[in-house]
Amino acid sequence: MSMAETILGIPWKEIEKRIEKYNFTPRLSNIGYVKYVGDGVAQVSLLDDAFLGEMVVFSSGALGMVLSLSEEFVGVVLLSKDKEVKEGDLVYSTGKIIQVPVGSSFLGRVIDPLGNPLDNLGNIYPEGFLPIDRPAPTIFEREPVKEPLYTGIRIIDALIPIGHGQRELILGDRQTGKTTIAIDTIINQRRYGTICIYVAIAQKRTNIARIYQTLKDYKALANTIIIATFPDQPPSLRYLAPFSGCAMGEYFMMQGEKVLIVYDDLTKHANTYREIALLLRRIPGREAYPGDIFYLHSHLLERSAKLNIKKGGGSLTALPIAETLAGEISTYIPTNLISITDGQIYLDTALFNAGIRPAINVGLSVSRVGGSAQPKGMRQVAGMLRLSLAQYREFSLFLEFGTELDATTKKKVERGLRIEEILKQGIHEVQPIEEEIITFYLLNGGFLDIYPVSEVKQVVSKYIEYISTKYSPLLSLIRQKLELNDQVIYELHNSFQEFQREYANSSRTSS
Amino acid sequence: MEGKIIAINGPVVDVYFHKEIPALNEALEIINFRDNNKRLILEVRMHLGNGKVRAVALGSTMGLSRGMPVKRLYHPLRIPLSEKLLGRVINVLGEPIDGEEPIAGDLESIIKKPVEFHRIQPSYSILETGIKAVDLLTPFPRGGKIGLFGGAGVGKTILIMELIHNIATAHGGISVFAGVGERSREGNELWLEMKNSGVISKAVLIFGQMNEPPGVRMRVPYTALTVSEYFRDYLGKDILLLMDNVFRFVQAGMEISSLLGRIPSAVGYQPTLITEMGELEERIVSTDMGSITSVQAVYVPADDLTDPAPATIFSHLDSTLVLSREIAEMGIYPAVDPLASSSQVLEPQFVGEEHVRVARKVVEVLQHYENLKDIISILGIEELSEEDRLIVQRARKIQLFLSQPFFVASNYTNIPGVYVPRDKTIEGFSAIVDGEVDDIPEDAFYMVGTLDDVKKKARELGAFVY
Repeated sequence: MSMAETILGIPWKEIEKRIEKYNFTPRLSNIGYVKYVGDGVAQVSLLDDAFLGEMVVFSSGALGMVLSLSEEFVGVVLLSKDKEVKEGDLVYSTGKIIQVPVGSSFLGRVIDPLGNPLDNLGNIYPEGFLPIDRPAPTIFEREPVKEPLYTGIRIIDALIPIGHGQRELILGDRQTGKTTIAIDTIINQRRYGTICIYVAIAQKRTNIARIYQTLKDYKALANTIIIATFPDQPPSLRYLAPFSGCAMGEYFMMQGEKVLIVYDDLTKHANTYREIALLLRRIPGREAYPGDIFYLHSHLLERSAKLNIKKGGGSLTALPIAETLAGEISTYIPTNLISITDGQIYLDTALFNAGIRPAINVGLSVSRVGGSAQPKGMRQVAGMLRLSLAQYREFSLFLEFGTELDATTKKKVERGLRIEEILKQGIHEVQPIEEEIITFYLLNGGFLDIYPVSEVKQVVSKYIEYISTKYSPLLSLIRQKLELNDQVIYELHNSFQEFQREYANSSRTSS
Repeated sequence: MEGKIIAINGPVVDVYFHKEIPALNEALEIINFRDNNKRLILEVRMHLGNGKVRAVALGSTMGLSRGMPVKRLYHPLRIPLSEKLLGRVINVLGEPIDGEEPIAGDLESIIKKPVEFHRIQPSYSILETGIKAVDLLTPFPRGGKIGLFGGAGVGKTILIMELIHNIATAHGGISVFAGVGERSREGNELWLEMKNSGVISKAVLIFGQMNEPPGVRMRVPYTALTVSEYFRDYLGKDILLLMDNVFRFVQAGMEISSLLGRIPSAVGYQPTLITEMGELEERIVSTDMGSITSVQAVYVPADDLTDPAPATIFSHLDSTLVLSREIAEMGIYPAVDPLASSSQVLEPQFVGEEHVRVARKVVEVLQHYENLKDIISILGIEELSEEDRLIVQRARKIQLFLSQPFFVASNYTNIPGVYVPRDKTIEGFSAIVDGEVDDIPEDAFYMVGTLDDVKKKARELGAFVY
């Protein structure tokens, strides 16, 4: 199938046939001619019936989208590079607003923003089509975010919790692990059946190939759609990518599903939009972005929502990514995005270089709504954790000056060191929520204080291994209830004491 | 009379009328057959000559094509006004968006002249908010204009929500909330909150959030004003007008400015920025009929207070609260920057001698601390004189005592909210600046209400307090 066929659902040959059979009257309302073309933008004369957002087809088979209508010309951005467009080419209107094919047949696939497969796995048969630009759910179709979305990343689930339907920005300099957080979150969703959409905006092919392989290796691909655009493609495709990803996500949301969408990244998207706007000779504003750069992202991200029961109760959670330069958060595009989203996760180069990974700066990160979605068990441990961490940070300043510490302060610092260690997490090592709760419970309860910092992670993983074999009902009880009631606490205490003896024995024999 | 579309550029539509061209600000109507016959309203903004007018759409222009018929409505944008508005949620055109029946009432234009000069009544009594930082440093004038300035994510909206909680519930008049270009999620939460607290029955909510095109966002404040003026003038009520966020109004104007064909001004803003701001703000006044107290959140783009938008809005306000990222990062909420905030009613004749003395002293101590910071960072705190060290300690206590647990944030902080009466606020801060609580550890001042709460927390922390 050609590109035109997939998108429009009308075979190209059919169009030609219709034109051949067309009963010719002197009216050229749905045909035009290319007058100017260059840099991915064409000005077309005639084409009287063209409407804003319409798909048009050039005689070479190339596709375009109507972006402006003036008295003389129709402004069209080209959606394909492979098929040539030149002056004098015929342009046909299709009568269709730009839309994307949608459906569960796209799961596990890598596609372009128009739904064409890029993975050599054969045709995809859509379940329907949706316009890429759709109105956001209204205030009365929503309900507050209240169901947790587990990232499997301890520091996020405990201190910056995310809920279904939330928009949480991930920002930081290049190479600080932004994409990793998003990918790990996708990997963790395989446990919970959330549908994931990863939208790559102007990313190099090798990156996307790597992500594809990772998701495949971690068995997270079956629930995921990858929408890929590359830096050398026409700006129009890069511009469309997040919108078409969003429409694909909305399709599932409307069916009551939980959907997670990652936009990687919107800084590149803003730059792409700037490119198109300047080519269309729009007057530049701040930093040469067009005046509606905020609206571009606000009306995209507002489409993420938690729908109320009447609307099926589905949700679309968004993790947009933004790249900062030299750690500067308060620049134009990042602050725009912060002011749209429901919180941000800030990754710090200094932390990254200090070996703290994920390099999340807890002080500058916030989740405005996720707190109410956090399960009880996590809430029980998170408050204490936040406090201990804050105290540790304060005292660690004194440590640098080599000040003598009293016993209580020293204890707090020792605790802090262990918290910091536990919050470090390897790439793709996502942890189930119940194990996270147990880990933090051990930390807060001081169970780990007797072990050297370098050993705490090992102790925790050994312990979890221990209870999952010997006390599996306890583990499943925590998994089901997600709270630390008296019975759970009692059993955790007992089992840890047992484990402690065994652990001491085993480490004695091994050394 | 019908016209025809001749050009479309985003939300801006050019229409040709063969004769009888519509007046400026007149509303036009298009039935968009490509969008389920949805009725699209436009507002005429310019006459271009030869029967052409330029109009701004108050809805999506997707699916519009040249040649589509455009109907004149012979009136400006207007909304129904009646007491039936109470308890309702409407959009910029006065249409209900809460799924209930349409609002009955006389239709009136949202574009109006400001009140005649002689009817304006500056009233300078104080409106207590129960928020320590606000009541102490930037007391709210009843019937005045208050601005909350802050960059992204420093807590503007949560402060507005707390003000609604503290003032609107106790306030005898009517609350009008204008959601301008902010998050739809917040709109949903606000509506639920107001419904649960019962405030909704004496409130009107008007929304044009960030998912709406600029034509809507730049007119929503006018709709809210028209509603406020109606309740002020015809029912003689005192109005609390909350606007979140005024910057988005300016931003919407900027978005369409270049599309209207205007040459951009500083930082890409519309050349008409000062005029647009003036036309909006000068309508927010208290008269002999009733008062309008307005609380306006102002987003500060890229944390830059010298940006033309916030800089222009500053001059319209009686009381300005600046929220700072630096303070928010210290975990102190509300993140009020005491050195950048001000109020015209922080004068003895309005708030009393003692309040002014304490507030000035607080600012003085903080300023002194600010000046010492460089020395501390280079030489260390040990190098300071005994007196200066005391100043530093008191300044830190002041900073922490300015934090306050909010009712609307209790879900998030797990600490119940506190309302602190103004005299208690002054008592607390006067104790700090006068050195009466020098022996209480600073931790005790964080996230508490009154001085008594400080002492209680200090005892819990193990300090010996009388």
